[in-house]
Amino acid sequence: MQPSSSDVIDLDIQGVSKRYQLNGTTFTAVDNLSLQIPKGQFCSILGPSGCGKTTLLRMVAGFIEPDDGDIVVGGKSMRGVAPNQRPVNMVFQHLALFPMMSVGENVGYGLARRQVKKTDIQHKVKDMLSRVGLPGIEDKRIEQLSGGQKQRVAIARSLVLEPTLLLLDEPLGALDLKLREHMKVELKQLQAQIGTTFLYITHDQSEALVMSDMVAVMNHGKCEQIGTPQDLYYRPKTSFVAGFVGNANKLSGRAQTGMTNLISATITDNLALFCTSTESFHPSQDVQLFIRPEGIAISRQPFSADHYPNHLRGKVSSILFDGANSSVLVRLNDSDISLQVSLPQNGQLKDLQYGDDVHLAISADNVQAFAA
Amino acid sequence: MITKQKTLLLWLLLAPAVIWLSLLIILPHLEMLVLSLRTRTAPQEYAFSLRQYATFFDEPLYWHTFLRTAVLSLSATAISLVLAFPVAWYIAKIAGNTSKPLLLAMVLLPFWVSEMVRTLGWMILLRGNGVLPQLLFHLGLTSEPIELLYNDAAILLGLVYSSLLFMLIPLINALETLDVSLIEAAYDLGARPLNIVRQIVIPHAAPGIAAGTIMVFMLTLGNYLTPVLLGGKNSMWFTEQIYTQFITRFNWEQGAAFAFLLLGLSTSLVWCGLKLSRQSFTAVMRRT
Repeated sequence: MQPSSSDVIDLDIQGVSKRYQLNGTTFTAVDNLSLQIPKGQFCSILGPSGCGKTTLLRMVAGFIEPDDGDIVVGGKSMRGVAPNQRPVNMVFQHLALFPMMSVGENVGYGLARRQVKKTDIQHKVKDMLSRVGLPGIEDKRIEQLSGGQKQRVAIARSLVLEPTLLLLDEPLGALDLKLREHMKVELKQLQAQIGTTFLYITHDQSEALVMSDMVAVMNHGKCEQIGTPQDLYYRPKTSFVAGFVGNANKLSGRAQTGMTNLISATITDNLALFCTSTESFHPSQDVQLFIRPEGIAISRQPFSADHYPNHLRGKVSSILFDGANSSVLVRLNDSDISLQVSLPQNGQLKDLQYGDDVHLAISADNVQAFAA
Repeated sequence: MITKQKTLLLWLLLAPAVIWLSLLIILPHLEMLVLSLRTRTAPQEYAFSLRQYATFFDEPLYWHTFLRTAVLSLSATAISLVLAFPVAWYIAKIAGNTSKPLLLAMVLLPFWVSEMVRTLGWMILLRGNGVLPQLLFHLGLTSEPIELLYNDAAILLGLVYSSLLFMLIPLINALETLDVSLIEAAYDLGARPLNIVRQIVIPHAAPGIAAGTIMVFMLTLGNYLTPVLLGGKNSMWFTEQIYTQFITRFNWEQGAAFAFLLLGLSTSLVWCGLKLSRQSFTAVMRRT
């Protein structure tokens, strides 16, 4: 979070809903959703495709009118305000740069529509292009640019209008992996340097986690959780967030009565795990458990009993080598459950082979339980 | 050996096009050119002369008809463009996937009927005791049934009607490839609808507009049936003059000269149009 900013709210979405009629049935794309973004924040809306995030973004941009609720940008209600009158600009999924114009004409397009003087436009365009790291390319054609350059030109075209809020609709989706990784870092730095509030839409959790100050996870038109990337990853509030953000082993079981501050759950007849939860369960209630691959300790030797409440044994059934993110699948003894376990970063277990016996240990904090 | 076979195959494949071009287009036109540049000095004796072309400029009726044909054709083309653009926009961008083929079929349907029959249909509607004048008379809008045929408006109507399809198809093709997000982006950046049409839609559709305009202009300029039927004796269409020279007067030399003047007119106007709109001929032909 950036310090100076938290008191001014740049975008205030107040109970917004949008319904569509599809073949006679009503489909609720966005369901009574509220969200506040403080000034200067990089906020992402993360959700699977079809969760309503694009509809929400288009409502903020003004292309879709909400059925209920209000959208307030910079303190002004946007009800009935056309997209060309809003202090909001959008970077489109496929960028939508105008192929019939040069780079300079693209970036200056919005300024020209505001009847800004020609010399001022030239000056501002030049300044903006150098701020996004592309000085002196005003006269190039759009098709002469590389993917990353197009990206930056599209952002410059919006930012030159000094919007209160910049909307970005998965603009990295079309880039190849290496460039996408690079642009993630670049976009985050650009936002920090310029200070405009960003609202970024994505289905890619890594984009959301890496770039954002705050992330709203959306599912079925509703906000599941709003928080910092760390909050979502380590303290998910719903099973959807636990399963969607980051990698997790998902198990289902039944709650057990017992211990004072720990909850335990039976997975199969001969397997029970201690877990933590913000919810409370009654005995035998169906629960879902989420265990991150890096939350499981793995060793060839047994772990000392008092460090971890959960001890398991199993055999390596598959090795998933991915450099620093390498993991193994461990099939637990006496059950048909397999767990994905991250390998220690120090390379201790890099010689692990298929079929090796291993000991696993999991602290209760690393087993998140949710009502199924 | 293989290359030899390949060249042979290439020529075989090209043969229909080459024969078509040379026999049906180049040869008749060469013959016409020769015809237009000669004059008869004695029976069966001919000499080179520009007399036919001189006649055209000396006789005001001829070049008046010539100019009139050009102006009316340009007007018909412009009206077609203005009428077709919103329709093409609707079919390309607004109509759903189910209604699009239906709308295209509706556009195409009148062309299943011959041009002659369609034009006669308009005559039934417009003539003095036809449907429209009678309707206007019975509604009390005119004091007597008025003749709506045999004027320039009727000619224009017929020309636009018979060429609208040829404007629509290239326009629909051009507009279909326009990415809607370009329009949204312009709107988002503060453009008003008129800005978007002028700066985004028209530049994108320009090759399609040029293709449709060229086709419609050529078709109307060379049209014979519609002006003659709907314009009657006053039609004064240049193709009619050519017909008269060839068929009524047996003055093939004069007719050929007129034909070449018409070819020159259409070529130069199309060239001017392309130059003025800064379009390249190849880009336009790709859209046709």
